[in-house]
Formats: sequence, C-alpha cells, structure tokens
Amino acid sequence: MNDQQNQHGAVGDEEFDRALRAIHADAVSNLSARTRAQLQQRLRSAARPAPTHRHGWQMASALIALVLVAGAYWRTSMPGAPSPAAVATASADNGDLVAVIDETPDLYLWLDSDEATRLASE
Amino acid sequence: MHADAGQVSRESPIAESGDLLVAPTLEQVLADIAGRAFRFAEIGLRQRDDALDAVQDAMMRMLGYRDRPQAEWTPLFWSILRRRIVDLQRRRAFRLRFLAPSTHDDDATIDWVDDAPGPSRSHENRDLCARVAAALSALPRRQREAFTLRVLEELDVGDTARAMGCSEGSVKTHLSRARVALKLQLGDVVEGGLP
Repeated sequence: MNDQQNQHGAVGDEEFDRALRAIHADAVSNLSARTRAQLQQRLRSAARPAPTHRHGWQMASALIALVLVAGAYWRTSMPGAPSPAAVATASADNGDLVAVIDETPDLYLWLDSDEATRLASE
Repeated sequence: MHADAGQVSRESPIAESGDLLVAPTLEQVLADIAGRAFRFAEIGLRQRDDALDAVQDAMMRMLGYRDRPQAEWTPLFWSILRRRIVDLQRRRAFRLRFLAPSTHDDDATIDWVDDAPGPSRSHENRDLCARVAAALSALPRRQREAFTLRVLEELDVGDTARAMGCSEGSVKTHLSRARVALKLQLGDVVEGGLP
C-alpha cells in the first residue's frame, strides 16, 4: 500500500515537474527583444577586459614630475631668493666657525674663569 | 553531472560539431545560459533592471573563473548568481526600510516578447508563465532556489547543493517542501494539460 502511494507520488512529481519545466522553457524562449539585446550587450561588456590603469599612472607621474621641475625653476628664478651658491658658502662659513671653536679650548677656559663670572653677575 | 540525458545538449559544455567534439568557450556557455539566468533573477528580484544587473555582474565574476574545469562552470555560475540576487534583495530591503518605506517597485508582470505570432496564444502562455513566476516568487528563497535549479534547470542533486552552498539532504528537503507548496497553487496547470 505504502509502495503504491510512493509510486503514485513519484509519478505525480514527475508530471508536475515536466509541466512546469515546459512552462519555464516557454518563458525563456519568449523573452522580449529588448531584454535579449540588453543581455547580449551586457555579456559583451562583461567579457570586455577591464581597462588597465597603467596609462593613467604614467600620465599622473609625468604630470607630477613636470610640476616639480617647474616649481624648482620658479624658486631659483625669484629675484629675492639667494642663489644656491651663496647658501652653500654660508653653510660652509658656519661650519668653519664651529670647527675653530671646537679646536681652541681658550674660550671654555675663559668661560670658567673669575672674569667671566664677574661679567655675568654685572 | 545532470539529471537526464535530454538536457545534455543544453547544459553540457561539450557540443558536437560534425565529427569533432568542440568544447565551447565560457563566453558561449554564458550566452547560452543568459536567458535562463535572467528568468531566475527576475523571479527572485521581481524587477527587470535589477535582474539584468545581477546577471551581468554574475557573468563578469564568472569570467574570472575561466581556468576552472568546465564541469564546474554551471554550478559555479548559479552559485554566483544566487549570491548576487541575495545581495541585491538585502540592499533593496535596506533601501525600502530606511529611505522609502511606503514604496514598492516590484514589477507585477514578467518580461515577454512583444511580437510573437498568434497574439491570443501568446497571451495565454504569458499569463501561465506569469502565474508560475508569481508562485515561485512567493516561495521561501531556499525552496525557490532548490526547485528552480533542480527541476527547471535540471542540475543534479550534487550540483544543486554546490550551487546553493548546502548539503544534498537540505536540497531534497527544500525541494520537497517547494513541490508541496507549488502543487497547491499550480496543481490545475498539470491537470489542465501542458501549454
């Protein structure tokens, strides 16, 4: 009895599935022309390789380099700005002064003397 | 891989061309599956443009898996599309809840060819398909997925389980419940004969 019921149930399922499958196939084959065209177009755009950003990075890098060069040129060409040679000379002078102080301990001896203490208290 | 031999020409990645068996490209497989994927998404989302977006996105993602074995393409595609639909459903639910709680943008009708010969016949078929689509839409999501993939798309139980991300036992349970619910709503379709 149970076997018979199961058998009938299985056949019922198959018939039901087949009927719905046929209706579904009918629905798939009756898509509107607009939807079909859009699906094809979207498939084409999906299959198209994504644009790489390599060229964009190259352009941005070139632009940044150009801006830096222009900025450097503008700074050096300003009338009031010291020339790089003058700045280098000043740096060298300061360095010489420090070297002289380091090499002559007389200054430190004088700072430690009574005369320097008296001058500081005045 | 599939439930019966009758579907091989539709689902199998191997197509016969003369004496040679030619394996179609992934693009060809996607072109073949596009219409059915759209109907699947349309039933799940009930909105034409969202369905098109979901199919396109699934195709784009699927193309990233072209190195996978061809036997995996079909369940993988359905799995991707299914997840995309769920994602869109959640986003839309969020949007409707917080931005426009009173709006309801679902399309009541299904997409249908405009210039089919025999308008009355076409109209009858359209109504029947719309009725089936509405019944499927009314099912809980997992039941709808199980019935659509297993019965309408004719994937076997293993592929259906892979596409749904669940066990084969769960597929059978969802499928059984879906059949019971659908028979209650559409039993007269079978009794009245095929379209």
